[in-house]
Formats: sequence, structure tokens, C-alpha cells
Amino acid sequence: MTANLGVQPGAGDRWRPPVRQVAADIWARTRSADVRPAAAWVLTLILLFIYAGLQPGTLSTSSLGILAADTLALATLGFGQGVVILTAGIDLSVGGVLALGTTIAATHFTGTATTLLWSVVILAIGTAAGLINGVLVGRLRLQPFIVTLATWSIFDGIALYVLPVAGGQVPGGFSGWINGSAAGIPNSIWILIALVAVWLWFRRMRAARRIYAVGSDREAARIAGVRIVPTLMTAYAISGLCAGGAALFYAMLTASGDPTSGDGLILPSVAAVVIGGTSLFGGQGSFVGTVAGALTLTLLGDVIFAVHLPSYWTVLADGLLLIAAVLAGSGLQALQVRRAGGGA
Amino acid sequence: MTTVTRSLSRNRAILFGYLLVVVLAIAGEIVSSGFLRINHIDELIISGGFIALVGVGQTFVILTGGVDLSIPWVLNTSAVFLTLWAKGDSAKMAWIVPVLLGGAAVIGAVNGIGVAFLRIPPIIMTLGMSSVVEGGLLLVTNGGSGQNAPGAAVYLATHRWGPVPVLAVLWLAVLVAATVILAATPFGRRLYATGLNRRVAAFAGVNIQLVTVTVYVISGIAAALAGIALAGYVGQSYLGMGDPYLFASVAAVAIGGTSILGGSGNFVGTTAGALALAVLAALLPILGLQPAALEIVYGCVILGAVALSSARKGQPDRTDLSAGLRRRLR
Repeated sequence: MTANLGVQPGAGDRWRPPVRQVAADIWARTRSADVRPAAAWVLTLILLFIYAGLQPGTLSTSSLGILAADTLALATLGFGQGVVILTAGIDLSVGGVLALGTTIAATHFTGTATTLLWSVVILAIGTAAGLINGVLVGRLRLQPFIVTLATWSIFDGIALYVLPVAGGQVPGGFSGWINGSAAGIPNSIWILIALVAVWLWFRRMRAARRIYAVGSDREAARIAGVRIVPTLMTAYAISGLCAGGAALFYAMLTASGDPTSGDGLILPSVAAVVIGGTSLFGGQGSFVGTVAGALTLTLLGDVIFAVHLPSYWTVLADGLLLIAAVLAGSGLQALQVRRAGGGA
Repeated sequence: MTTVTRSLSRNRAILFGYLLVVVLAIAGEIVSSGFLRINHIDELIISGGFIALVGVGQTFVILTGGVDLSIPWVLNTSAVFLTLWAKGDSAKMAWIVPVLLGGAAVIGAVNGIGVAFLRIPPIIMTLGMSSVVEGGLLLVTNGGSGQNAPGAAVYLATHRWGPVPVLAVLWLAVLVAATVILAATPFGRRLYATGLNRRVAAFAGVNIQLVTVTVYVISGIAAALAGIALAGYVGQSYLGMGDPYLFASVAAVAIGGTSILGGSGNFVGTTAGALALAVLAALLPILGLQPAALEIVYGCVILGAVALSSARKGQPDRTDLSAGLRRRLR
């Protein structure tokens, strides 16, 4: 016993099988894990089954494809909005970028070549808009909401210049592509899967880790050597790029452009992120949850339609759902902090 | 000494706002003679009056470090219900106006409770509320537009006593009331304290929850009042009539030198902002610019004003107490 260097348990302790140790470990980890994205998926599935009960045939591949197509613009916006919210910011300008993108699509897409060319331009404009937001938020240290409120107004104004009233047209091949399918699965579902895959790839990158770090504690991240300004610029640029992408999907879906289309999507983009379990205070969250949040919002509109309520209920319900999700998220977090022993 | 410098820099921002009004007005007279005719000045004051009315609420809210995005749809709801219930009968406004202002106060109170007690970020709470109010209004009107405004509302928005618009008198009354409340009452001091630093204010015995709820109530009432006046000006109500007033209210506050982080500024500045925006809005068509340019100008004005004021202060991180403390401890 004297040669023992202290790794053995003391005489009074009972030997524990490691299995229990591992089980306790897993349990502790489950308790402290973020259950919010999973909760969002449960909510999505519940709504999906309610809708399927109301509307037979919902679970067919083609119906799910339509659901995915309806969700695509919102999910893409949510990707970027989520990244910005991870930095404890918010991007209201996605509305302006989306509106501008759809107006450009409706006026400049004439054939295959122009469609490709101007698609790239729309994505570039979005990215540039995001970089401007990022510089203003990061370099000048202005508040994200006021910066993006201002740029939202600016891009809305530019969109009105491009196309003063809703209308215009995109080529049939462009708008029809969303309804096509590959390997028996609708294109819209493929894109949703691709977005999730991009997220899973992105979250492993150093840039993503910096974004999480800046969001959870900016000062600590700075001390640890994270350069704040480029990180914020990256986050807002991703959001702008996504808003450009969302504009393309929106134009595909509506086959036209609308200078006011963005205003109504700002709240849903934030709501999708929050319902998906991302914390508004930064540093916590995942696009895996946001997809569920976006699907939830689309399904909610579908259910409202299926029970023959006026579609205006969707606007009201979106607002209530956003506030409820914020409350549920912070309540859940408070509960977890208390369970974990307060100080943790 | 520091108080003197601070008050000077604050007043400089407000002076800059009024200077902007004068410069823009003179520019207007140069490119289009008659811009400063008394009739046209009245027009400018009236169109600035609506911005000032929504701006007073936004000023109070922003002074506490919040923001109210629900203003446009509260305004719109008030305008629609005014025309819907009055059916052109001014006598009915005796009960309609109190009901509208009361309803808007309730909406504001819910915003305030969400922000103060449930700790929902102001942008999110008021964005959500905006959507709820919009949805509710769409359901009531079924997406159609309202009816003609009653005569008393038209009188309020367009009539002139001699050369003085009635709305200008209302604006002046609001200006005096807001300035007295902010500068000379205990509530005003508590409001600034809350905006400067919530935690310190709470430790100093300020009921920050009550202050927060009150400013959102004020903002709701002000938006409803603006809705009544705007319905009178347009002669009717329609959906979307409040939309320009979100950017306008924030821009007026920003031009007026009020800190977006809260704690410094006043309605005298916002008044300058509202005037400047009204002159600017009248100037753009003369310069051959489309109405769309106005939105671009609003955005640039907000950005410029906020960037300027943050450059002046040079310490934008006041809201984050812990970060500030940590920096000092290092």
C-alpha cells in the first residue's frame, strides 16, 4: 500500500464499475446539452402531422418538395441571420437585400446567360452589403440594429429605383427549376440538405469558432487573440450572401420581383433562428435548429390555410411565435443553469 | 468641468440639427424660389409634425436604451379605427380618440412589460408586437382600406389659425411638455439614469421597470395621436400608411443628437430632426429625385448621425458594464 501513488481509491471507497461512470457522464452531458434545436424539430414534426391529418397526401415526396420550396428562401435567410445572431448581433438589412435581389431578377433575367450573370451580381451585392454592415458594426462599433436598420432603408430605396411596383418576370426555366427533381428527390429538398451540409462543414472551420467565441464573450475572445473586426465582417458578409441567395429562391417561387417583398421576411428570419434554439445573446445555436424553425413557420401558414382561416392569421401568429420562442428559450436556459448548480 | 463640456457637446449636436434645417431651407429657396413662402413653410411644418409626433415616443424609448419598431402599425391601426368608427362624424371622436389612445397605451404597456419584466430585447419585443398588431388590423379590415376621416381630424391636420397651422400648436405643446418632463421632473432624471446605466440606476433606487413600461406607453400613445392626425391630413386611412414613419422616427432622433445607446439627448433635438427630414423630403422632388430616394436618404442620415455621435463620444461600449469593468481591471 505504501508504494501506491494515490491513483487507487482509498480504503473506505467502494469500487465502481466504469459503466456507471460512463452512464453518469452521458446523463450529465445530456442534461447540460442544448435541447432547443431538438425541441424545434419535435415542434416541426407535430405540425407536419397535424397538417398531414388535415391535408391527405402531405407526406408524399412531391408535397414535401413543395413544402421545402416554400421554406427555402426563409431557411436561407435564417442561415445568415443565425450566423449574425451568433455574434450577438442582428441583421435587419436582409429585408432590403432580398427586395433588391428580387427586383434585379425580375428586370434583368432574360435568358440563360443573363440569368447566370445577374445571379452572380445579386450574390455579390448581398455580400458587399454585408461587408458594409460588418465594417460599420465592427470598425465603428455602432449598434447592429441601427446600422442594419439604416442599410435596410437604403437597399429598400434602391430596390424601388430598380422596380417601382411589384411585377416583372423571370424566365420559365429559372422559376421551373425549383419544381424539378434529381434522383427522385425534388431539387428544393436537395438544396435544403445542401444548406445543412454546408453548415456542418462551416461550423468546423476556424471562422465559425471565432464567430461563436465573439458571440459568447467578445472581450474574452479579443484577449484570446480573435480579431473582432474581420470576424464580424465575415458574419455579416455571410448574412448578406444568404440574403442574396434567398432573393434568388424567392424570385424562383414567385416568378417575379417585388420591392417590398423583404419587409415581411425580416421578422420570420429572426423567428426561424430563435425557434431553432439560437440564443439572441450570442454564442449558442445551430443552423440545424434554424431549418426546423423555418419549416415550423411555413407549416404554420399551411395549417392556417388548411383550416380555412384568413391568411392574415399568419402575420399575427409569426409575431406571437417569435415572442413565445424567446421566452421559452430563456426559460429553458434558466432551468438548465439552475439544474447545473447555479454557478456553472 | 466635465459637465460643462458634455452639455456643450450635446447642445452642439442640437445646434447642428437646426443649422441643417436652415441650410436645407435656404438651398430649397435657391433651387426653387417660393420654397420659403409662408404657405409652403406651413406645409413643411405640417409634414414635419407627423414625424415629430412619432419622434417624441421614439425619443423617450431610445433615451432608455430601447427602440420601438411597432410605431408604424400602431399608427396605422389608430388611423383605420378612427375612420372606421367615426364614419365621417366628428362628434363620435369624443369617445373614439380616448379609446384609441387607451388601446395604444395598452399595446405600449405590453411592449414595456416584455422588455422590462420578461427581459426580451426591445427590437425583438417591438418587432413581434408590430407583427401582431399588423395581423390583427389585417384581420379586422380584411385587407381593405378604411374610410374617410372625420372633419375634426382634418381640421387638426390641415387647418391654420392665421398663418399658424393647428398641428404646429400641437407640436409646440408636445415640445414644451416633453422638454419639461425630461429636464425638470424626477421621472425625467430617472429616465436618463436608466438609459445611462440600468444597473447603477436600479442600485440608486430607480424603479427601472416602471420607467421602461412608461416610455413604451408614451410611444404607443404618441403613435396613435400621429395616426389620428395623419388620417386627417390624407383625408382617409389605408393599410401601409405608417410604413415610412419607422425610418423617419429613428432618423429624426438620430439627427437630433440623441444617443442611440440611451442616456443623452432630448426632444428639442428630435424637433430639429423632424424639421430637417420634412425639408429634405420636399427638396428631393425639386431636385428631380424619385420618392424612392427618400428611403435611401433616411438610411444615410441615420448612419451619418449615429457615426458622427459615436465618433464624438469615442466610447461606444457603455452598455456592456462587465466589459468596461474588465478592461479597467486589466
